[in-house]
Amino acid sequence: MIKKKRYSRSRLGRRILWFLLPDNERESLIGDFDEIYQEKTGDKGKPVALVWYWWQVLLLIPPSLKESIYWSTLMFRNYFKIALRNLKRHKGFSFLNITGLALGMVCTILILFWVQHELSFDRYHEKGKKIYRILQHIQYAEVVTWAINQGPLGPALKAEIPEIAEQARFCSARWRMKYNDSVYMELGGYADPSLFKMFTIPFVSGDPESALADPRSVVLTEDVAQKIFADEDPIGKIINVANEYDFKVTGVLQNIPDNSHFRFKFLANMDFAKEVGRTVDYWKNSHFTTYVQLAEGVSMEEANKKIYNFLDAKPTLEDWEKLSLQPLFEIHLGSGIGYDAFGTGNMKYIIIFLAAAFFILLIACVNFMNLSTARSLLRSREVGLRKVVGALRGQLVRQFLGEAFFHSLIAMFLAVGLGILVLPVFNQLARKSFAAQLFLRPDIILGLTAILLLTGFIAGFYPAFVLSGFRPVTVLKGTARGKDGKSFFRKALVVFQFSVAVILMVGSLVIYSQIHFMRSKDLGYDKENLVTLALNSIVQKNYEAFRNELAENTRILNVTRVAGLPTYGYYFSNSRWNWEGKDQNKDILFRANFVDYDYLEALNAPIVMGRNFSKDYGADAAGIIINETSQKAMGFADPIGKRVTLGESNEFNIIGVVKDFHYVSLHAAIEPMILLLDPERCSQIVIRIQAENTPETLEFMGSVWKKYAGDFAFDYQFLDESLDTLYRGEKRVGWIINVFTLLSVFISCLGLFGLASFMALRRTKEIGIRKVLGASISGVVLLLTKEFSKWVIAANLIAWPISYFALSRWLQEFPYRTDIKIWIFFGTGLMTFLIAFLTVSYQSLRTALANPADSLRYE
Amino acid sequence: MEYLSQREEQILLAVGYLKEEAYLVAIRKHLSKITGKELSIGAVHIPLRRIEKQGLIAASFGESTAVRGGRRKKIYRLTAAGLAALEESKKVSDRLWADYLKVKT
Repeated sequence: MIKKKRYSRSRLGRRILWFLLPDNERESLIGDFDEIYQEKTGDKGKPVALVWYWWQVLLLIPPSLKESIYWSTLMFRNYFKIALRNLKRHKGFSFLNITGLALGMVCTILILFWVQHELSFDRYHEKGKKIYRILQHIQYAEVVTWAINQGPLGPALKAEIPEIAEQARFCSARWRMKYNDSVYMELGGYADPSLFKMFTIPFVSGDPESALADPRSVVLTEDVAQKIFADEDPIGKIINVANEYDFKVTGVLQNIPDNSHFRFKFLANMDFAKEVGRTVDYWKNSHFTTYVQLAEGVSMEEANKKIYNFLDAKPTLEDWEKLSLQPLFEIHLGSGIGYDAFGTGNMKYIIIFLAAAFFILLIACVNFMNLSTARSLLRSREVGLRKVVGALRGQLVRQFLGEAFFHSLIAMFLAVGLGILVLPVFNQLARKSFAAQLFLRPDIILGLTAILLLTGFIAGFYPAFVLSGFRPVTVLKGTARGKDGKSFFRKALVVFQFSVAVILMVGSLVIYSQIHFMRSKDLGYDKENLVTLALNSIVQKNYEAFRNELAENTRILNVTRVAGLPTYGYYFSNSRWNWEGKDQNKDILFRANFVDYDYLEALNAPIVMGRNFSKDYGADAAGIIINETSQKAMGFADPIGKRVTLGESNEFNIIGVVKDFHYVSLHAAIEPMILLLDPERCSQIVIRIQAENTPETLEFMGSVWKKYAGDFAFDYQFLDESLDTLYRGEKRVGWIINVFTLLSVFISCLGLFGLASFMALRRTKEIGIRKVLGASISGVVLLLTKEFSKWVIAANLIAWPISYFALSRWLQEFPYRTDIKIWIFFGTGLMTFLIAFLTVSYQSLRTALANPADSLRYE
Repeated sequence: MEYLSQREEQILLAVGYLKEEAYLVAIRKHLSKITGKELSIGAVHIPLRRIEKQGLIAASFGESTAVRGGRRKKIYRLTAAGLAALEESKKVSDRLWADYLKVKT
């Protein structure tokens, strides 16, 4: 054992010696070492010999190390010096290169910020891996997936399924809180106290165990507590809610982090939800988000199997309702799930933005590749000489790669500075709140380093490969010419750049026209000049008087009430509607809304059959109006007077058919809808006013509102503006794509400009001769721009089908979509052509206008 | 011509003395024995390399032995230039000694 160990040690020693010694003396010297070692072993024993041996080895290390460091720093200093000189000497090119790279990097950095933030959602919950949200799948014409469940479901799951260790329910609420005569509207919700046990929701003050024990207790987040109580201690203070209930503040939560899917500012007890009529104990309505925590060692698959059929034995509303688990970490980026309490991100956009950022960085890298290889001849002498003096190809590759990294490094510093500058703008665009301190986070620094290395490598690899390949004999003789193959590659790169730019341009135009289409589409009613107000219990009590007083003003055309505004225009949805001749095997989902008598009149939604609700008919509470889609779904040729039932006990008569109108955003197709008359369940006031003198009308409405609503603020909205907010997501994407487009075009033009000036420089003499022989200026400009035009046209031809394909797929998601119009393609084609022409023409003109005498003088 | 350092002179003499056995280990042993202090390998090898470059000694490879792990010895011998350098050195040294002894009382 010991012997072997020693042997291996001295073998290691030999290895080291082998490295350290000059190669012509390795053999004899290692032999010498061994011989002395053996002799010492004989004289003084192995340990002494071994120590001696290693001591000799150690003594050898410093001089050889010194030698290699000395030489490599010497070379590095030389490379560095040459790189700096080149940078200084060709200021224009360096500027183009570095600007392009920096812009590309800024883009990538910001997108990386955004992506890492999107991916970090809910990761901070300590027990997050074991927490799931219950999804409900219901069979209508198709299976739909909802993120809400029946009230009793959570407790039942916990009680009946041992795999489920804990559960918490949540439902959101908007509260009007009053303290010391100041009123605050906040979005929060009702939850089981177990929420604090499952999730990481730290308390600033108060006790998580008992905070929500009392049905009249509430916990607030820090920012809201600060807003309401300023410097007072919130604990124990009483706030009034909706003018009816007094709540005691029992806890203050740390602010919910940005990367949480939770979006609440206060939490109150589930028991209070029951008191205000939420269906907490009711199996026939889905209203609650249910979170469960699995027991130790239980896998998602096992639990999924257990809960899948759980609802079969429960008295739920629909026949086919199944459950499944959704991991907490997937909530934020999950898609296709209805009734998500807090709204979600979108995985698709993450991929689109990542791809766009990557391509912009690539465009910048292509600039570097193109300009470096185009100008490679300028450095061919240097390469030739280095080779003659003994440089290996590997060393040259390293040198030029190093220069690319050097450029990237400068660009990176610029990019970070620029990033800090544009961060506020970006925050606004992306609706995030990134701080500049983010640049100091280790994972971000790692990301930046990765971007730097990637950029340096992509940008530098090809030029290094080309430049190091020069043959010293040819370049030093002075007869080197760029080979055709290489310039073909260069052309391909330019075409690639412009293709990306064209794709992005077409993309932003199509997105813009889709947004425009959605905002201007005829919705089936008149959305202009409609003012909406949230109805509260005080106004509701005196609604008739309120309405009459408003109606006295001739500028106010209609005043009506509804439960769900056309932004989200239904109150409940189910398939329990029955009528004569219904196919009982087919479940159809109907949306239903409660309206006042003159709602349709106010909207200007035309009745196509039958009549509107009217006070002239005594029994109108049993009347319903259906839309055309419902008529089709029910299969009635003449639906008027037909009997329709809801569940077991409710009977209705169809009194009219309204022309289909869009009652939700245009992201969804029109579904069957039924309007029921029930003014008492309405929660919104809808007022149609004349287009003229809007400010005066609003002022009048405000004064009437004040008379009836007391201290409730006159918080009105225009319906068309509310509708616009439905397309905020698309608008934001459109904006970001716009920025990307602009950048990609700009960076491509930087590259083109550089290339054009270089080519013009190389052809100075040729142009001189041409001019001497009588070429016109326009002829010369044409000659110089012809080539670039060909590239741009090629780029367009490549980009059109790709962008058409990609955008058709994007549009597929919208049931109501614009066509991709042919002018968009020709428009971008013309645009890119013009931009490229303008970029190139400066150089071409300068060259063409130059006096041939100057360029030919030296010959 | 350049003057030899003391160590170089000693090594040259050892090479001349050891003849066919003049390789690094033997030279080092010989010098250690005569000077009475142990020299490191480097202390012998670096001057050896220098005088080899100067052409005062020439090298060839000798036999390999088991104790050297099968590696060959690099055996040095004096060249004509080396011999001349030694003689020159001795002459200088003798003159210096002679002068010194003359005045020594």
